[in-house]
Amino acid sequence: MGNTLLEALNVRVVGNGERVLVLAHGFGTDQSAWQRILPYFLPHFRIILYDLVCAGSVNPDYFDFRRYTTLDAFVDDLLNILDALGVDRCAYVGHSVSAMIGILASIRRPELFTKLVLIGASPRFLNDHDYHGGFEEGEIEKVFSAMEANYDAWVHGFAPLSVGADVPAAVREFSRTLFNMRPDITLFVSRTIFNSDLRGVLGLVKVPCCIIQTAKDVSVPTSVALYLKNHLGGRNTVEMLNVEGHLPHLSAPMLLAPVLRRALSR
Amino acid sequence: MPTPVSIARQCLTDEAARALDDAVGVARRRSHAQTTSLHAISALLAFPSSTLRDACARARSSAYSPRLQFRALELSVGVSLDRLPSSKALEEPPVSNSLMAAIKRSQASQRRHPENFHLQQQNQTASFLRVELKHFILSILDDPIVSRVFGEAGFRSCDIKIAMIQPPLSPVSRFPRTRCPPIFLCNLTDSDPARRTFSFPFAGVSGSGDGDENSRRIGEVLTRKTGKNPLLIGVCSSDALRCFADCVERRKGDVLPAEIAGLNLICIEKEISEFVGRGGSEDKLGLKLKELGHMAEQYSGPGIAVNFGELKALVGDDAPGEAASFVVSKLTSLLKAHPNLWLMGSSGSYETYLKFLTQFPSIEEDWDLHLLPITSSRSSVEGFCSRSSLMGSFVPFAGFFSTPTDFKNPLNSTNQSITLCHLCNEKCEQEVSAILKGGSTISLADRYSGTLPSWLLMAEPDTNKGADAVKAKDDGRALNDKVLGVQKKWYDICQRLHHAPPYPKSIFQPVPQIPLPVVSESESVNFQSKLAGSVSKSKQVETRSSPWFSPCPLPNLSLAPDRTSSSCITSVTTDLGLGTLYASNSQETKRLNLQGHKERMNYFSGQMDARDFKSLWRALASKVGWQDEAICAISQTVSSCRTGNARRHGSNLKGDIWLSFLGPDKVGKKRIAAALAEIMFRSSKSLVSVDLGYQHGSNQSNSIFDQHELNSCGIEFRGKTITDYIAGELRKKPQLVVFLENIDKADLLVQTSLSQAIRTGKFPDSHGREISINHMIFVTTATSKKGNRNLVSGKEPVEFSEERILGAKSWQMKILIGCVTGEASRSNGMNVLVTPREGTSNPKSTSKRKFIDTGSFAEQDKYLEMSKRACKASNSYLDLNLPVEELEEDVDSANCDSDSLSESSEAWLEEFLDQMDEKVTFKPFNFDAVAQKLLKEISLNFQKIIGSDIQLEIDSEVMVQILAAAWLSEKGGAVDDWVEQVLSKSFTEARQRYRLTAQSLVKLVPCEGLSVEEQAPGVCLPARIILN
Repeated sequence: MGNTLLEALNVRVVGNGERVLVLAHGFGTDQSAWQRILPYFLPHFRIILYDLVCAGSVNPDYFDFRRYTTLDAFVDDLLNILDALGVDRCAYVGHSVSAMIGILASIRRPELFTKLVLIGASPRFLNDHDYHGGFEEGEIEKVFSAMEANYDAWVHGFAPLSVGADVPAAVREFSRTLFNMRPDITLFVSRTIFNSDLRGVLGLVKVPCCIIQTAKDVSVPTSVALYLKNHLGGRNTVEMLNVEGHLPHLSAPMLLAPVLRRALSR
Repeated sequence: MPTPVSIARQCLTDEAARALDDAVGVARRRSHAQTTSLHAISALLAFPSSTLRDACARARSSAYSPRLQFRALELSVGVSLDRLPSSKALEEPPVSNSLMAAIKRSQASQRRHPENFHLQQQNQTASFLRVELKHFILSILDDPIVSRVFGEAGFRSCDIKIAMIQPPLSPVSRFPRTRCPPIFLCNLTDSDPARRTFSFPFAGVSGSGDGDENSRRIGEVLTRKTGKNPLLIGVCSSDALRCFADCVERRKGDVLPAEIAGLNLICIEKEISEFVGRGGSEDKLGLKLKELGHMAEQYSGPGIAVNFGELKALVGDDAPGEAASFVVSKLTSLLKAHPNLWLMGSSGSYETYLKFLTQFPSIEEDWDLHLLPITSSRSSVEGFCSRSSLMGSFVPFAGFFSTPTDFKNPLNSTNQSITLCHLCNEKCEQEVSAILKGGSTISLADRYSGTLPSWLLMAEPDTNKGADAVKAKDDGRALNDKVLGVQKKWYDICQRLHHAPPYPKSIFQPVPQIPLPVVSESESVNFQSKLAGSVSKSKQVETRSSPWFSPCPLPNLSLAPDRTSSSCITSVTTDLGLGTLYASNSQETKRLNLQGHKERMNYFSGQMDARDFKSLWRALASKVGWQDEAICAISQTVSSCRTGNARRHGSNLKGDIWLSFLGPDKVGKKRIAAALAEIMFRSSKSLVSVDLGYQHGSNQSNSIFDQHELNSCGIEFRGKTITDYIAGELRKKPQLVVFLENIDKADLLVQTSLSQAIRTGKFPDSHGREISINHMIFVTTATSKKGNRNLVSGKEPVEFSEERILGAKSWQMKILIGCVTGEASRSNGMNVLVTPREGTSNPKSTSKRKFIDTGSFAEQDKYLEMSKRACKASNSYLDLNLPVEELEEDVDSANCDSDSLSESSEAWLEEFLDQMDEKVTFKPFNFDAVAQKLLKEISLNFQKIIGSDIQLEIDSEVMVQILAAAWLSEKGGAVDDWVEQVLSKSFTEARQRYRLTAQSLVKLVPCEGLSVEEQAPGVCLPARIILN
């Protein structure tokens, strides 16, 4: 089973370092999103790259609509990959949904992770009475209907907003990976994400976390980074990146790489 | 551009091609310019026995009579076609982009599902698939315009699609209500259950019936040997628990694993909350628990699970501790006594559990708990999905059209084909809305904007009323015509005035570009602002429609007037290249440039060759007067390289020049690089400047150097690595000066590329593509130790160091009048004093200033030590003006990094510098001398205007600012002029306004937080000084 899984999710292991580093991409991208970050870490880490099952580069038939109804199934995939590769300690860098997955994985298997780096992470996207997640439920519904009505148009609007319209190359890249996803899977997964609420379980995380937040992120308000820092159970740091956009590894790799390196060296 | 019909036909099977011909026929009859999806739909519906009609009949809602609904469909198709502008009749109206895109889509989907091909298609090459009629129709149905037309008639295009796919004989299967993925063309065929035979390589997939992941997980925990009692943690945990209880109760077999099937779940949540919360009797609860024990003993099945509910009941504020401990101890003993008894509960947050844990530290072992994080509740997933299937009408932005202002909607769909420029569009809209209001058809508007199903409902009881409605619709059409007229008028005006693109080209845009009917603007902006509260205002205004929904790629975003603007960047390069380091448009600068230009022309016309050492030297020296030795060395190197001393890369001649500028004087280095670009390549734009250390320093707000863009900040590299940025610039121009500041801060990628470039003469980008650098000049700078050592060890202590000047801010200045306190010491016959502001309102900079200032007061030998420290400091971080904490953090991180990495980086630098054609060491700019001279000048002016018995105190920040300006100014006497004009004028004003006595003290201080509004010509100092 292990090998089929590794093949299905395009698992790649690269680099010549000792320590193991997992780079997990977020919603709407695939492992190629790390391409600009990768060279900085190749000499120092053994890097595991994989695609989430919802990514466009994975055969859509693997996506079981009955299975991936919660993030736990994604966590299963991650842990299965690490087990199949025989990894017993690793650092984990997760972006957006993968940050959530990393949090859950480290709750389940704390001994496996030395450090979590969470980029653009949010425990919950919807607002609550005493919590500002950035989205009202009604708004989200509208976004979903827009997505359903015309996926193409939605991508064209969403990508520049998410990445920051001043970096056309990164916007193109993000649009490409977004388009690669089958629209129904995109919709289903975003429902799963927006439906998730990790607030209650953050305290269970004992692994030290580094939260990387950009100054302007349409998906995650800055207050969320502080919320994470205060509620995650381990020793946490927050790194603010003075750039815009939800995907700093696409839009500002130069800026992200040193911050990542610093976070991973601690 | 539209596609000729013959080409489109090649992609279709005969059957589909016939359908296309019919559509073309419809377009021709209506003398439309193109054949669109609407024409195709109209043609497909025309025959009573067509596939589409058949599918519609099966998919239609049973609420309305079939005849009426088909009539409504025909009407709405007809109306939509009427809205298309007609042109002169064509024999074969070409296929529109949107229809062509639909054909392409169906081709792709057919390719994705090869098992659906007809047999005779098997041997076709994949690139030339002929689209079958079924797929053709399916992808046309995906077209938003088409789905809207169907929606208006009360059809849901997803229902029609399902009906298309399923054989006609099967009973009508509606979109299942729960847990069904939304239907898109691409996964339509998957909905055929027989096809779902793909094996999953993933563990733990039981695919539990209706797939409640949470319940499945709870069941898993229950079967464990240790830690078998689940405690669900998470905001939705109580929902999940309730859901699990429901499932167990309803005996849905597959929720529980086989081992514990038939588990009896008993909830005692109510009893506990009653007991703890309201102080019920111990007996009652004890009895209940005892009863449970009996049950467990007698129960024949796998056992009993006791659900104690939400943990909050036990640790809440109003829960008395003894009651809670009673419950806990009872449950513990119950659990110990009966091995076939499970406990389960939930906790909304980890904090609650933590509280519980502090009260009962051993509870985890006593209860054998397993913490199960729950991150979503099943009920809400269901809610999402059922709602989603309701949205299935596929009307774009369903639910957005409720407000009366949205009446524009149906009109907008006509508008979409006409592109007006912004201004005209606004005016046109005004006029249209005036017509709409004037028409006093509000009731009509209401009816119109309501979706048609309601209209049909109204119409159903009585056909007369139906006719009314049709009439109303006709009225609407008349109105449409009027509006269309207005729009046409404005289109004409726009085309005449504003050179809009030619009509036929713009009339049909490719599918993704069709502006969907956008919500009334205020609303969308409002929504966006809520959604993306952080997106800057300017952008919102610029984009005008919410980017979440706007289908256009929004290229204009980059024009938003902020610092990321691309135009801004180009202007920077230009300025730098011109050698004018400031953006001021003053006459003088221009004249200066002109002069420079003339001189240059003379050089070149008079057979002057840039290779000539002397002329190069002269040109450079005219730009930077204070670096004679460096300029000499540079000129020599460049001219000898250019005359070709047969330097080689392997077998090739080496045409690139590598220079390294070491030591201080940031401004001087940059200006020389700019001058080199101008002189060597005759173009002001051939300088590319990159600060490799920008990410190590933080952007200081309002630095005087920012305004000159002397700090090339990282913004322009957003989305690119520096390597790719440099490579891109190299590719653009055949001749360039590449100016790399802070080469010691280069990251690994840049290092590799540079090493290769200097060795081989080819610069590789991050993808390994190489660019020849044959005619390039590379200039790298470093404030390296080597350069600094002999320079700083000069004899005199320095009062104004370069680090300090680099921290200069561009603040407005003001004059304060105070009283002399204590004895006024007069230094060297001047009554002007520069005050160090220690211990004053600027806590940020005190500590960093300390060692510089103490340096100036210290004895000589002590000073040497200090300066070494300062020099070391300047190496580890660029910007001394950082807040102290940040500095420390930076140093920390540098320490953390100081593994093999930074060592190897140092080694690299040494090796790299050794390969340079020349290493030039710069002298420090003598700020102290300039300061002396300026103070004398100011003192003279002050004495002349105000008198020699009054003291002037200049704040050291102001002095730093003035010195920075002097450093930056191109023209020698620019600051002297400023003193003469601006400062003296302020002194005069001060004299007039205040009565100044011998006891008075005039102070020149910065207004911190207030940046310079207006700059004096030729120098970056304020044009006015505030009097206070």
